[in-house]
Amino acid sequence: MLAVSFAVLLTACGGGSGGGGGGGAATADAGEPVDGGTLRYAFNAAPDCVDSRQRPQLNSRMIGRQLADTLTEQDPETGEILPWLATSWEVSDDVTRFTFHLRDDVTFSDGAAFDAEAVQANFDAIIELGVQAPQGFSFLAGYQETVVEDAYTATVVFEEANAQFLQATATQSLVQYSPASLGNDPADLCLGDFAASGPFTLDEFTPETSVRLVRRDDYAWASPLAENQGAAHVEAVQLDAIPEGSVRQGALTSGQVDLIEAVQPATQAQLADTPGFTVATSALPAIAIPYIPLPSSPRLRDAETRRALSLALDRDAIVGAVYNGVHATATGVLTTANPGYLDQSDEVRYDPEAAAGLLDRAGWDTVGDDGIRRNADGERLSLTITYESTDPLAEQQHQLVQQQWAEVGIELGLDPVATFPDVTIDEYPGDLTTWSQTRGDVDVLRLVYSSFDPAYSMRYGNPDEELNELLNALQTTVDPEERGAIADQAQRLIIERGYAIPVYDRVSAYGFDDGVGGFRTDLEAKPLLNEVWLAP
Amino acid sequence: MVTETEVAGEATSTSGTGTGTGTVSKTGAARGWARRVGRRPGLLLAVLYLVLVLGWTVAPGLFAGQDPLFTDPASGLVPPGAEHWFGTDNLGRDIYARVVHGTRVSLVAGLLAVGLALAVGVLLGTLAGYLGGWLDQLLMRVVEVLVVIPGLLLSLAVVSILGFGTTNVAIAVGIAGIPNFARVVRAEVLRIRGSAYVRAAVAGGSRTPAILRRHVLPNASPPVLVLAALDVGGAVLSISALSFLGYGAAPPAPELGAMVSAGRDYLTTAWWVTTFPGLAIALVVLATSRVARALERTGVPS
Amino acid sequence: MIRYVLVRLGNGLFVLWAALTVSFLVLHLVPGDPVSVMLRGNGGEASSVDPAAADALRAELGLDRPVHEQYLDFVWRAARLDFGTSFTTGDEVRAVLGRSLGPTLELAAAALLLTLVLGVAAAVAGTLLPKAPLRSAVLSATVVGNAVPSFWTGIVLLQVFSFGLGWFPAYGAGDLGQLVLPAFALALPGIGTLAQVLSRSLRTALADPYVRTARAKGASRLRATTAHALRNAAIPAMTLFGLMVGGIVAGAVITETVFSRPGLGTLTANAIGGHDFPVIRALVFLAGALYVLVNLAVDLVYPKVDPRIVLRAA
Repeated sequence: MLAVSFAVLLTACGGGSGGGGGGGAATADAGEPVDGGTLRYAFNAAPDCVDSRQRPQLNSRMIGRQLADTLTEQDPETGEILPWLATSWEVSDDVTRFTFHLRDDVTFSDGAAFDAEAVQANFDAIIELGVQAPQGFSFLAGYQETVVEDAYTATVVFEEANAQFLQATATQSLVQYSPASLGNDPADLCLGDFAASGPFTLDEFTPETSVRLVRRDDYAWASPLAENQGAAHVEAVQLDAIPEGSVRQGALTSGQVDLIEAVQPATQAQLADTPGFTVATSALPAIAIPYIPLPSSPRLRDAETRRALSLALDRDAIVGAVYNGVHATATGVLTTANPGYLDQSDEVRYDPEAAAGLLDRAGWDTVGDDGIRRNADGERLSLTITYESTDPLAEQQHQLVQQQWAEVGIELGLDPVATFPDVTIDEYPGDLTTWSQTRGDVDVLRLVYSSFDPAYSMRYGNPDEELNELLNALQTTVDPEERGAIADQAQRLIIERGYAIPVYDRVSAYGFDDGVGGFRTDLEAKPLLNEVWLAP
Repeated sequence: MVTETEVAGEATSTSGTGTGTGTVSKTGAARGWARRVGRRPGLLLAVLYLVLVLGWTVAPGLFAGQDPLFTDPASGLVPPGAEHWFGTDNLGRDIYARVVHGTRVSLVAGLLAVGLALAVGVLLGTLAGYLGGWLDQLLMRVVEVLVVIPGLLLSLAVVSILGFGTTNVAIAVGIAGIPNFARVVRAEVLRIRGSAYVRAAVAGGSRTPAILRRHVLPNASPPVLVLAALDVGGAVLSISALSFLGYGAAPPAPELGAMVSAGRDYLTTAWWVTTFPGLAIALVVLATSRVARALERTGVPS
Repeated sequence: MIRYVLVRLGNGLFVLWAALTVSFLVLHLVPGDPVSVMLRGNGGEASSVDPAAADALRAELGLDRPVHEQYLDFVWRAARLDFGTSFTTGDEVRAVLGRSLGPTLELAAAALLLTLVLGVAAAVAGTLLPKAPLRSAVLSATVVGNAVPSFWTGIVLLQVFSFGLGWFPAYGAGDLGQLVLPAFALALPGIGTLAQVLSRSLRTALADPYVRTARAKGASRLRATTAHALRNAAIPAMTLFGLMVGGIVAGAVITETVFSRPGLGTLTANAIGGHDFPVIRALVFLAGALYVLVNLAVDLVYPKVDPRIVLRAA
């Protein structure tokens, strides 16, 4: 519970000040890079596991990025897939075979060479891990085998089309480890018992507390995003958990740490105004955080009622009051940083009158003495949201929405629980839920709004065949333009049918002092620590 | 309960009981009490504040004109002034109204918690003290188990099981408070059981329930009630601590601990968001413990 | 004496076993299990679980076995001080506790020291200062310290002395400066309680015939107090102190959260949130053992302080 909510918190904070990069990545540059020193970094929440294949949480993926490399990289501005450990690739016409041509100069930190056999062993290992590698396993759905064509050429074969696989090879769910490490016990892997090819190796790891990384001096195959293609500038990175936002910021301003993640919305402006400090923000490629009407809710069966919920939502007020203006108001199903973003601000808007009109048409046309609408059967338009109460900002958001919806005659009851019941999505309690899913690919639409996955797909058990057809077409289409057109169609359908009520785009915010140079983030707003240097 | 409670409760139980308060005549105690309140300005203030809080509890609307739940993002983080006595939070809610309602939630939960601890504690303590033997041994071991498990841990687990809400939080805190009462009641019952009048009643053929009702409980109750009064403050603290950790009353109901927790990021920019709820907790605890200590010295008026 | 200690230890073991059993049962009632926590994607505030995946992971962790079997296994391991591995991190629970124990002990020791020094000082000042208003001012201050919620004290202390004045570092473990604020926040309620109990006993003791005799014989007011009364007043204070040790471990949950310190408190909060049952059970064991041992120690010291007390095995 904690790890997940922290992952959300990490990204639930950010803003529009400081040296933010528009399209996704944040950069900050001043002067010439200097080598040496130990970078002191403050986590919001330290990971409980450093094997990023086993944890989907952002903090594990952030460490995974420093320890290991991936076959491909993704351009934070355009979303384009760039070569990394794989210099080039071909995809078969039926999107079932992916042939990767690999670099031949890469070694793992245990001395083993990176080659086609290593790639084969890595993908096989994900299948072996199964549900213990939840994301990677789902990315590899339908995996048949990896064929070693020659020492540095490997072909991954699927039983059916899998167009999202290419982008998946850029995620830390499919990082490449030394084959000798892959057989290790999953629990030991979590504790860092593996060798990989990243710019840093793990020196010390105390779960949920701290991580210490040391640089690999012979590193020479940095990501195409990096200006520094050699060994990392800093000798070591000490990462400590400081969960309290105010203490984290205090530690930065008093010089105890150099760089902090998750600057709190409440104090971000203050930090940006403090001389000697910079706030860098970047939007996350994801679905815009929505309220999702649950298909099982009897009162939300009607598309007009669901769309009315969206029109009755004053997103600017929420972003301003709850998130101090540091997140962005949602303008579509996806965030602006997602490569497949479609501007839907015409539909995703605040219009309480239009909402009232839709509700009247949907049969909720009598307003009772309590101000809540009723239908012909006398049923009240009363909805409930069940949520874990670990995120105080999300709770404030619900409280604000409660009042906004009440103004058009919709009652929203809050039902906080300490722990969610152990259920699949179709058995989910209440009428609505919130959701977040990060992915730098339109495939995130398929995962969240189709019906195939019992734990991730909101319409699981209640399929919308027309939408499913569109979303499944994403899997068989490689051509970017064609794929984008399908994704646009799907996004329009999702809003039209009221399947998502987007609220805000998450923005992540880092704070650092002027002694830190070269700060840069990838598409998922994870910092590239090999780029960072410390002024002497 | 959290640290302070257990310690405070225990401290008074070791020194505050066994002084034979039960023998003080009731009218005399009441008169002495009135005199005491008159003589002590601090006590007077405490009593007045509790009367005020009682007013908040019975009719919060009378004291706070504004709706504690009404959000108005446009007037968020307004500093204290004529319109908003304690200012507003980031959602534009009136903090004074939230403190009035929040104090009510905290006090009701605190009273419920102490009530539960008292009821169960009296039952266990009386049975153990009066019947003695192996039952005494067994019950006291049970009580000791509750002492051994850290109170906060127990409370957190209980809230996880029962879910959120004022009553559930009160139960969680109340369970952790049982040992204090069981121990004090047992000690009192042991003392009274040995007294001449109880022995006379036993010799006279009275049955156990009658003796308990007529002799033991009336004589044991004054020190126990003092302990209960002292424990209310501790229970309020524990409940606010649970809320602070995110295991409190169900929102949007304002709860003081949760208000401090939600406002802590605004401390540098809007001090009033956390200061007033924090003070409100401290004042309730201070007032109840002040009155309880006065009761302890003079006896319980009826 | 030896018989007394043995009986007390036996009792303690029994209570410890009962506490572990109760916590096992209570945890079993907590809805949801670590599996759902671990399998949750980055679905944010909401979550759901693929039943097939959950069952597989449950089998992996041994959570699919009958309850009584899990219980017996747990007791048998606990008897050998083996608490298994953490569900969430896969780390050995003993190692986890070992790491967290240090910072918390450091904090607790500093807090207890502060409690003792400031509590005794406040009690003596509140009883012996020449002017009545001064005395009551000191005692009132201790009462206020007792009533202020420690999470609020912590936040305010940080704000004023760390972020504002910059006297103390905001976080960290290891050096002395950063220990001051959290230790004070943790100690404050205890200082009040100790000062009140001690000053009450002091007053009683000062009114005692033997203290009055000593003073009549010419001993100064201060000497009379230190020599006789303080020693007499030590008994209730020691009882209190024994109880505080247990309380401080619980108080660490709040203090460590507010100050972002690693330690047993943070571990407790994380373990409850993450349903890390092996860690929670080990924490119950640790707290229980500490409680039993400290109170035994306190009871053994009683006769040294006051020879009128004789130890008897129950």
